[in-house]
Amino acid sequence: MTIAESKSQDLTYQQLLDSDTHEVNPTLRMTSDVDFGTMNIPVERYTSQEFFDLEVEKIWKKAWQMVCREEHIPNVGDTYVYDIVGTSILVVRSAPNEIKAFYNACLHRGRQLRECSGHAGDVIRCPFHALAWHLDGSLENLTTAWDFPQVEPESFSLPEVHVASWEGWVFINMDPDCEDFNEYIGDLPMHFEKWAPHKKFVSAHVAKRYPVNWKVAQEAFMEAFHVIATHPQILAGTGDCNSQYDVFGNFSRAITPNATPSPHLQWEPTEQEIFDAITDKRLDEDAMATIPEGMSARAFAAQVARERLRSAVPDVDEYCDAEINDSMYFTLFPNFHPWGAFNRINYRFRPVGTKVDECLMECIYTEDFEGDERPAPAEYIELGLDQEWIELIPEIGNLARVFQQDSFNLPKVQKGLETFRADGLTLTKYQEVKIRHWHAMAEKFITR
Amino acid sequence: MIIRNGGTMRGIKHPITHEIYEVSDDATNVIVNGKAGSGVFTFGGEWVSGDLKSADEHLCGWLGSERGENRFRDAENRTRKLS
Repeated sequence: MTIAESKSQDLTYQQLLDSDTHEVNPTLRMTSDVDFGTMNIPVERYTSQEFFDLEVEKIWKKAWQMVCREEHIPNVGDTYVYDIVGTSILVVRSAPNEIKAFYNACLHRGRQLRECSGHAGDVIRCPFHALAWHLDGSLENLTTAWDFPQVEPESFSLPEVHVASWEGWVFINMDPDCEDFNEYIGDLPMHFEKWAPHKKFVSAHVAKRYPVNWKVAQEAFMEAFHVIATHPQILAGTGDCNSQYDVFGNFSRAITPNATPSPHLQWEPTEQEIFDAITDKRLDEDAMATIPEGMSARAFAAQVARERLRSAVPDVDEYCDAEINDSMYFTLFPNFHPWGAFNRINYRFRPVGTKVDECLMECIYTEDFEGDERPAPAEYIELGLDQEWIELIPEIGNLARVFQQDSFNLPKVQKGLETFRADGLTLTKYQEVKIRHWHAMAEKFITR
Repeated sequence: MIIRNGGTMRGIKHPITHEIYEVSDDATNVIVNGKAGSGVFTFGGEWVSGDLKSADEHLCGWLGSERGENRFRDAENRTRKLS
């Protein structure tokens, strides 16, 4: 019996797939059988400098991590500055089909070579004393070379970090002896294979700083268990505890079905009420659409969404209701969260500098586009600690309101953790298995 | 006490408690009516007045922001604006 089968007496996600009106993507039929037990999570992981320092040395400096999209650096000479836990990495489009990444520091006096992303030109030149390197990292100019008798120009190259890419995402790894990227991501490409041919562009890139440990923010977006209290407005249209959670190597996956009611409800919504919930219908409004007699909300919602996608996704009829309706959220350790199918969401969470209790949450929308020319990536917008997600409703729509609800909890979680006196955090065994997987992965990295 | 607001303007029925949450006419507060009474709350869920002293802070917050685009509703076909 798999965890998915044993999780509860409720309708399982696999049973829900049986009623799909289209052929189900085989990856959705996959289930894992990984048991991470019921151990409590030490609260110090969210509050202590000691554990944070371990994360810096053993995780951030050792794990593959997403830095940007390839279209952020489309032209030779384009650069992207990625700062993580006090280390600055300079990602460079060094040739039309080549991306390199270097420690972002001049070998002379250590000045950051570039403080902002953007076009560097033919060389990477230090603004302090004009030493310069070619885009491949080899030395281009050693100002007053006669005064550096100790320097051998051919070996005075910028130290590199490993670079890899997958589906337009660029990753780096600072560990010179790191695991091969393809081995690290394992079967993740297989899960995205059916959706991969679609051309994507960055249609929104928004972020917000939180006064919380970075995992407090990240873990709020790794399960549907919180829907009952945090997002009550969608309970009639979200099968929160019908979600399926899986772990596959270094990544995990959750699938939360939509257009089906929460088993928490003590009443049975009609198919129309289910559809009304997911369209945020108010009591004094007409329904956005009336579900035909005999049709389920799930099938109808998929049909409506297919019509909205059709111009950008001509083969939309080849995708099952689950791919159209459901929330499929993957987590590649340590901090990258691409969503599956036609959902636009991709999250990244990371500390701000070396602060234990401040972090940045980014949401990068990637979506299909019409025609052959990829639109330029959307401008990056970052909200400060005192700004609210609802300021970004024009950019990311209703998701900003959902984030607003999630964000409402986060500072209160951090405050609670700093007051916490029990023997660790008592997580659910199944519904929070993605979080348990993260902590098991962290232990693996830390004890290496 | 029942606090009237001219019907169920922009209202949502709480799926667990079955209370009706609606935005006040001046769009500054949330009015909650249920079996246990009625109350007025801020969009942060803080009590303002009435015999009902507590409300779901997340649902109050949800009603406090204007609806945006989702996969069924875009800026052009919003059926109603909050303000």
